[in-house]
Amino acid sequence: MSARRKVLLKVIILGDSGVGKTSLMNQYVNKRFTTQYKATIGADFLTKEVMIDDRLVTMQIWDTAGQERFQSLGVAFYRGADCCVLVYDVTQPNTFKTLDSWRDEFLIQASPRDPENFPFVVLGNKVDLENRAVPTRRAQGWCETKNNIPYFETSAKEAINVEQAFQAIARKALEQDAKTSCDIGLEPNIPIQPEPAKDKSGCCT
Amino acid sequence: MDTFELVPILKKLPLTVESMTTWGDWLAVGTKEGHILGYYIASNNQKIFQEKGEDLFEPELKNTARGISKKPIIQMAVSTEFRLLFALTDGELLVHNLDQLTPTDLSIRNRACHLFAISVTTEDVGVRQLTLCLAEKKRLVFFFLSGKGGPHARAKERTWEHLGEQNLTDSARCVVWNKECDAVFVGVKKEYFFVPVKSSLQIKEIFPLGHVRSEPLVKNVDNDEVAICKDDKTHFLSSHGQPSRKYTISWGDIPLDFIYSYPYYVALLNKMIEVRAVEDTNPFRIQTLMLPESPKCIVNAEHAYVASAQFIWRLEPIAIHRQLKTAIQSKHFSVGLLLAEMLEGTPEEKKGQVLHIKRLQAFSLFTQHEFEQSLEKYSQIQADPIDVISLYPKLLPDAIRLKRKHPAEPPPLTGKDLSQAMDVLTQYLMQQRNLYKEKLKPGETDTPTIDMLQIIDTTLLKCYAECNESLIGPLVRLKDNYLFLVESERILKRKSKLPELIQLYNTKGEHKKSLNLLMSCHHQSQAPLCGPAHTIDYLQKLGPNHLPLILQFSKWVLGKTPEEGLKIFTEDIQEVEYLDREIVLDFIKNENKGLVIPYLKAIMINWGETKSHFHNELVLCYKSEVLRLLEPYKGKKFEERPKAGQEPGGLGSIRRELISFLENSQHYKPEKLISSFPQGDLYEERALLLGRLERHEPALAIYAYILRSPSLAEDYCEKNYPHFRDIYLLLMKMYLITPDLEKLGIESPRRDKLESNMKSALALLSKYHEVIDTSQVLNLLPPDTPLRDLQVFLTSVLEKKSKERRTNQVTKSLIFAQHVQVQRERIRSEGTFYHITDDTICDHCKKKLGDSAFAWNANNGSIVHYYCWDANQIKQERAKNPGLNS
Repeated sequence: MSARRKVLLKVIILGDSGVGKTSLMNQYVNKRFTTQYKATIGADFLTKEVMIDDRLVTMQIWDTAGQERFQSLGVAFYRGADCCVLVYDVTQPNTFKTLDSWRDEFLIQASPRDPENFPFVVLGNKVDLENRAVPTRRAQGWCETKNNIPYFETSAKEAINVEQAFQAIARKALEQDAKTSCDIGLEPNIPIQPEPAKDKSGCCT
Repeated sequence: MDTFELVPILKKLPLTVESMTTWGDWLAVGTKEGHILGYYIASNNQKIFQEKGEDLFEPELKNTARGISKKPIIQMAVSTEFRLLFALTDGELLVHNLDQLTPTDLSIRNRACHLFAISVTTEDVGVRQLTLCLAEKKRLVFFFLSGKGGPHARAKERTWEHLGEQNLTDSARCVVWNKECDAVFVGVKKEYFFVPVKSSLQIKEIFPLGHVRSEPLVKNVDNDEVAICKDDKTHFLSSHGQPSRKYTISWGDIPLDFIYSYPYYVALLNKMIEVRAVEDTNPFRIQTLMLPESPKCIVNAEHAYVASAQFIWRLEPIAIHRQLKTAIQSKHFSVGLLLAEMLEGTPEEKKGQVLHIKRLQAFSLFTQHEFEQSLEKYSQIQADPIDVISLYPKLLPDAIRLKRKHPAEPPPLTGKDLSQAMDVLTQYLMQQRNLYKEKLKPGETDTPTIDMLQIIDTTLLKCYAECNESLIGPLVRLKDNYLFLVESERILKRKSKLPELIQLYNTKGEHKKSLNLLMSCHHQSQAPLCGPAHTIDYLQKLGPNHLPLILQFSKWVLGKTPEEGLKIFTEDIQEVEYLDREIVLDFIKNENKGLVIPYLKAIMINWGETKSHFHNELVLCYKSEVLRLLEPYKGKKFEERPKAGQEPGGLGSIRRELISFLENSQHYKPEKLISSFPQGDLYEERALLLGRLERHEPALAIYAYILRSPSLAEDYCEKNYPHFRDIYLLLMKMYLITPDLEKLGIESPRRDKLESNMKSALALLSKYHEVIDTSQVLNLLPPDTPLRDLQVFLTSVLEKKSKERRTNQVTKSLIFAQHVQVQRERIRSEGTFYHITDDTICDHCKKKLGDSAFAWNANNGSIVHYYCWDANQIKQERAKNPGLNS
């Protein structure tokens, strides 16, 4: 489609409860961090305008509830996502283990056209803490087996790598968006407004 | 389809009908001759059915206003809220009471108006206001009916209040109010305008009239929409003049008049009436009714009436259930749904009918290959997913599929249609899956919900197998999938999705099947499951509950690649860590003795295993291995053998490992091990074990007389000092007095006689004299020891002793000096005194000391109460340490 098309990128953040999904989003969008933990209920989003190669795009970042009792977002929620961000806590090996099921869950709920090449980004959060338990090489290894998912180690608290990670996410999402737009093809907008001009047909649609 | 029938009400009137208006069961007719006739048409009593299609209704002329004008009555309107009837004639707006048609004082005369529009609005809660728009030449004048009490006030108490005026480019030909009553839609000769009441607001052009000559026509549709006609088309606008629908209605001819009679749009054309309905934003002609002569106007309130010059008909809707039937037959489901809502009957019956229609609609959409819309409808009516699945070929066993009733045979689907339909089905099933999962109560195992989830998941798998194979993996890996094992197994095997089959077995807990499959596949070099790595990976993740299975299937792996296979038990992951190590150890011993040492080393390094059993075991394994490798050295003399750990080949390294383990591990039990070590060999190891048992004498005897290594002996002593204070003395003794090795339980490999080792003893003495008791050493030394040999030792001992003595002397003098100072201070302090009298006052609280205890401050000489001093003291304390509590 034309370069002037307004681009809205839908990004979904998934991961276990307490890994810092909300914090990452808040750090990226609002540049704020709080140590207080508050469970997210359902899902919520923030938007941010991002420049990618001289192109202004709006990124709609959906933060989700990691807790099982809040998880029934449904097919509609996942559909149309342009990128999925998987977050784990580097100090909690279990949150790393569940990345596989988060990825699977996303794929079957969203059922993208080309699941093999759907863009994911993995973030290992809380690298500021000392009691790290998941080695970088293990996380990288996992990402390599999943069709080379980009991997970032972040700290929402110290704002380490957050900007870079989301820049990469936006880029991936934009690529995906371009791909899916091509699938749909060029559909000219249908004007609903009756034309005030003195046309001959006199019909508006 | 038939929606209305025309029923004559008045035939061949002697008067000419000019205008009409209706309310309730009433119809008012304005004639060319200037009369208003008020008919009452009750449908219940007077509906006389006549077989020959004669009059069905008996109109009763109840009220008349005769000859109120000499000119025709060109337009009429009513307000039931205000009980008023408006009639336009001869440039005057006559206002009559609705009930008796008697005139009121509200009539507007002396104005040349040719058109009007009224509207009633609800302004505040319950307060209604009647607004009026009068068209006079090229001008619109707006009024509202003032007076307290709203519609219930008597007409006399009311007057028209002027609201505003707007000038037009041409004279208005039709006008209606918008919903808010703050503007009107006006049609002039060539254009439509949106005209706000406030003259300060601008008039907006809507659009010009068409090219075919036609009168402008604008009508209110529902409460908040207006319909504007342009040529043969009708457009719908919101009450602010914005387009409100995505479609327009194209009539068969230019409409003369138009009404909206829910759910139909009815237009008066030349000599006919056209009825239209809207199905999915597509307006279609549903019925045409022919008229014997040209109609003049159509009006509707509760009932609709059509008039020509001498005739009036009622446009009577056909019984709803009959309309409904034909609507369904002709597949106008949207219309059918509207009609179903209008049916008489209990809410349940209505609901049932609506559901039925929606089901038909969904099915019909499916047959038209509108899969997405169809399944959307099915999910809206919460249809049984099995019904939906049975629309598709081959997804359900025929036994189930054929039982499901559909309005007709589902369409055969192939090729692109089928894959598109499948794609839509997966989305639908996923949505249903989420819904049913929410319904599921925790702990439920055998319920209809579970059955449904099984069908949904299995069908999803079939769909993915057909149209999106890369989603098979995520589905079978879902921890809570409800796939039917047998069916899924069949699908995956047919599609040769073996890795996915393994994952399915895994989530279903069918590990034995997985492992058998992996075992049978491992030698197929091209297959995705080739090699033992998959089995190793699988076994590592099973965890302690499946230990028998792990052991069973690790046999072939260990046989094939022992080193890699051992990782089944040593990989640093939680599931492996918690396997029962005693059982694993026994198993490995049986399978491959060579793996015992690597296994034991791994559990100690990875998980810090401390059980003495494993440590003992490792020592014994090392020992056996060392002994095995020592075999070739057996024939050699002890003196000629290489030193322990320095043997060439594997022996050296393994022996170094054993020695280092014996030195470093704290968890083996030497008393258990020592008996398994052979007499007459492995002296280094024996010495270490003896050391652990704190049997220093035999240990030192080995170092001194068998290994003859003063450096090892010294290392030994260093390790045991100061835990065992006399260790060096013991070694001295060992050097000076030859021990009885047999008594110490040591079998010597050396043939020569033992000789005391004066040289080593003296070297030890000169190096460690500080930690050896001098007097005991002197007693030990043989009397014939040359003094020369002791020179170094004695000199250093004497030097050390004299240094100690001098230091002590200095210390003593210093302590005495300090003592004298303290004594002097005591004497001085005891010499000071202070007089306390009855009048002595506390320096702190300024009260008399009285009999209270007191304190004297030596620094400034002040006298205070003891408790004042005490309180002050605490205060100062707090000031210094703010964190302290009292």
